Amino acid sequence: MSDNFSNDLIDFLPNLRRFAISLCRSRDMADDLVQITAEKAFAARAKFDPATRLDAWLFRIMRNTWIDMVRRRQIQGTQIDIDDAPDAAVVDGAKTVETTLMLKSAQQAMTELPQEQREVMMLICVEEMSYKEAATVLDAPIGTIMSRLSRARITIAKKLE
Amino acid sequence: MSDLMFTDEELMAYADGELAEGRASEIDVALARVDALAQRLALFVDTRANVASAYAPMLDEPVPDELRRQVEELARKSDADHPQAPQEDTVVAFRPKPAQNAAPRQSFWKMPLAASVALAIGVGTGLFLAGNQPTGGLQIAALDDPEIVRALTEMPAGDSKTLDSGSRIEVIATFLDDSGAVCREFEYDHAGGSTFVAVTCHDTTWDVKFVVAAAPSGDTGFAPASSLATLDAYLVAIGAQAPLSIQDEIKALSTLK
Repeated sequence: MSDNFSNDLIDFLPNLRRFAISLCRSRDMADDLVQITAEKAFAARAKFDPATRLDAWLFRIMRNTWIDMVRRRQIQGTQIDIDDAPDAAVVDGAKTVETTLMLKSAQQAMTELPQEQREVMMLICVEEMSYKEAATVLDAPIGTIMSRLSRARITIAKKLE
Repeated sequence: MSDLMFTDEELMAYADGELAEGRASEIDVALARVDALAQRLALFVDTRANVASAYAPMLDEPVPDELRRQVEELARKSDADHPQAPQEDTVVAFRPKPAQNAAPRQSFWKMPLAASVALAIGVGTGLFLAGNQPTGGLQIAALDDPEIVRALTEMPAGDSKTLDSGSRIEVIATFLDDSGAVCREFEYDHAGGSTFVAVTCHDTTWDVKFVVAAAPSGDTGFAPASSLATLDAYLVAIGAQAPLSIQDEIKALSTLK
């Protein structure tokens, strides 16, 4: 037996994995984070209000799980060499060299941001959430979200100059 | 007028379509007059487009088999413990996801390396044809004109036409976005002197997705090349495919009638 909850969560795995990669900055650790997030989500399934957005709820669980993992294991976030990461952009032969370089440097600039700025960038610029939705996921006032987002973008623009 | 009338956060919110309408209209007006403001705005438009493009390919990566298997197992156990609830259909749907298997992008639309924009107004969906957006002094609402709608549905790319209002429209290209919707890039010279380059995609009606404006210029004004860098970034972000051939364009337009 299945219903929308399970199917929606499974359909959302690529997005969860992408957000996890941005939080962990490591693909191996990201897959663990996605799995733990899924375990927690299924365990808390009865608490999910179907009138709200499942994607925001899942991101929130993932982000809190990650903060918890960092605190418990004293992980500071493992830096990966972006050149070692499989990158779909690179295998697309139709793209220009400049585009590939640009994508890599934008990703690199993101990995160098503090987590609190990186996560607002992911939710708003990549996952296209509104400021309000991101504020709910991150449990922070909108003013804080905006100041992190603006600082992050100014930093990234300087790095891409 | 100084560009310092607006804070970075206000310009960012404007670029993200999050600024309150009244304040957004003030920026619309100021953008036409203050070059420095457009450059500050470009930073927020460009960083969003660049970062979104950088992470877009990750969605197409296959989820590792082991992870998928584990989650499916979790789902199976959980579903067994939670018989289908009657309200299941009320789960709020996700926003539509980009197509997972979009055709490989062609290099026609090049990602700008350092885009600087003359003037960019409002990036978002359905901002302008909605008819309920005050647009300050720029009169983008004029795009609501049925003559324009007809021109978009009928004119082949490369043709231009002067409308009854005295404004001129030129269709630049026709292409499909990553969902297969027919999109048209066109230039619009308002009779009052402003020139816009816009992208509109057809769902059930024409939805204006993107507009860049040139500062008011002469009767043959064109948007300066630098503002087109932002357009290119936008086209990359929506997975725009290369422009259609003349035959394909005729076919695509005939499906809209």
